[in-house]
Amino acid sequence: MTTLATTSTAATRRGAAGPARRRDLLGAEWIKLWSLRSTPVVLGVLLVSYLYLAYHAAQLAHDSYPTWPAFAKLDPDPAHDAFDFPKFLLLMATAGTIGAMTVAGEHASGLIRTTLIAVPARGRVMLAKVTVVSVVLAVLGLLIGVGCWGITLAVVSDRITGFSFTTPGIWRVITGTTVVVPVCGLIGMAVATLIRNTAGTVFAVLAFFLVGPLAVKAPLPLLSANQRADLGNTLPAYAWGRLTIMSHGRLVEHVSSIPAAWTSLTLWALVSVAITVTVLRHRDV
Amino acid sequence: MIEINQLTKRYGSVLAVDDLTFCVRPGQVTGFLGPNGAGKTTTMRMLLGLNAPTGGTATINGRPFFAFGTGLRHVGALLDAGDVHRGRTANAHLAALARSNGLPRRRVQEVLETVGLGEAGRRRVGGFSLGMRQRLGIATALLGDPPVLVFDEPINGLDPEGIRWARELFRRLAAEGRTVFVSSHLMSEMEHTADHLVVVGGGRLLADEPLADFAARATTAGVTVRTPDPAVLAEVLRNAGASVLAEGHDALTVTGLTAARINELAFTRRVLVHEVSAHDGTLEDAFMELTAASVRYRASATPARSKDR
Repeated sequence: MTTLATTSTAATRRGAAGPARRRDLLGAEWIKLWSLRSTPVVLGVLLVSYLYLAYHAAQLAHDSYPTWPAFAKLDPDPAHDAFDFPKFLLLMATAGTIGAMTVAGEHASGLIRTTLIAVPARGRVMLAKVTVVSVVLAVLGLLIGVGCWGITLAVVSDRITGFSFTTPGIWRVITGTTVVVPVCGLIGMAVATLIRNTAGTVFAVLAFFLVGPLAVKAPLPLLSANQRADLGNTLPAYAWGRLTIMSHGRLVEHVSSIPAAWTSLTLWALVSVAITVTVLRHRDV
Repeated sequence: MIEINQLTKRYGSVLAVDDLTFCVRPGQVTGFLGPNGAGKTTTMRMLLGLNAPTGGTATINGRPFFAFGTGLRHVGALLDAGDVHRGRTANAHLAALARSNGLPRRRVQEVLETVGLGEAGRRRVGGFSLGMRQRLGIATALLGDPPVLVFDEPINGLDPEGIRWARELFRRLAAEGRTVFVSSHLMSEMEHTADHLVVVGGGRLLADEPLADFAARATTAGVTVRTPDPAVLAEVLRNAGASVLAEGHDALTVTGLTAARINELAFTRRVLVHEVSAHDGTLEDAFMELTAASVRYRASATPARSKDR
């Protein structure tokens, strides 16, 4: 056994006085995220699943194309198949759960105490966690966005022509997907920060992402149809849905404008980050 | 140096820590003793900024804990060995903590070897025994090579070899000039480890003094007597002015008389005795007396009860 006197070296004294460096905090959260076996497994399975779903949908469209009525052939919308709303509701719920677990897991295990003894600046620790989780989920969103469209093009292009990565609006769809996945993760982190209990957090996140978009379509008491639609349009799911509508056809539903959809996602992100970073500051852990 | 000044923590109607003031000096091991629920862990949590005090202050080398940017470099702490994510390996757990404080990655292997887990770094913490987790917690505390170390019940779950190792480690850390603050609810753990004792009960400070002074408090020094006829002997000894406590069916603990005087009395009154042995008051006795007093204090503070009696 070595004595401590020999293990305490000049290197460990480096920068002992100052605050923790931002890149060290980011590095620590990066290690924490990827050292859990479930992280690469869940992210990998999600990516592969969504690429396969896009492939499957494109294959169906491709095979059935000869039977389409003439008006449909005039105005095809392959992005509608590639970015299918119900399937992406599940992606959003999963992203929310992933974000929630990065916070709830730390509270449930008690690791949060060890973390905060190592770095007492709670806001900075949580900001680093928020940053790492957002970036990782944004990369997932980007890969899914680009991948789904790329696979769709590869499958349908011999029959449904005129679409590419330069089709007007497609980058709005891909960017929207890149943004909505981390926004959902941030919402999950905020919910976990408020609730802390793992089971309660997961229930709340799934209710918000899966029941919420359906509930606003139901005849809620006290709200008119327009108010329900406005409420629904503020949800991240419908904001993303609005960004993915590429069809030139007339919109018959009560939908928000494109800028309103972006604003909605931005607000969800900002409020979630604010909750995650500040609430822990005033709490016994 | 740890300074606790008028520290108070109230949870609803429960006063967990009540106006606690003491000081933990460098270069020695300070034991923090008290029965379960005495407020030891709450005090340590407030010291480490995890819980906000209702009143008072706790500082480390003159600064509140939250003023340290990199906690591990200033204070190493083991509060609860379970405060780890069971899904990570020991290496990953320590690597993340080391990284957050800008410590070099090699510190991970160094501290794992120091605590005897050099071979277990790649194993997931979920598969560790309680003793191994305690060692991992101690490794975490040592990671930043800090001048102040705080351990909450670090001996729990360690095997006899581990307990001896931990004692030697605490003594060595103190000998290197560090401040070492170790809590326990067992006096016997502290007897061979601590130089100085801080004793709390019911959230209040009961004693803050060197180990030797504390040992001198033991007033229950007495004599154990074994006899087949305890009732008769007890009567004899009480008449001679002793206080007698029956221990089992054939033994008495006697205070107020010397062993020689007890032998004399038994001989003259023709009571058979098998054994008469004098014993000094132990640290354990001193501790029990002190903390029993704090328990009585709490019980008598309930007015309804005392009226009934």
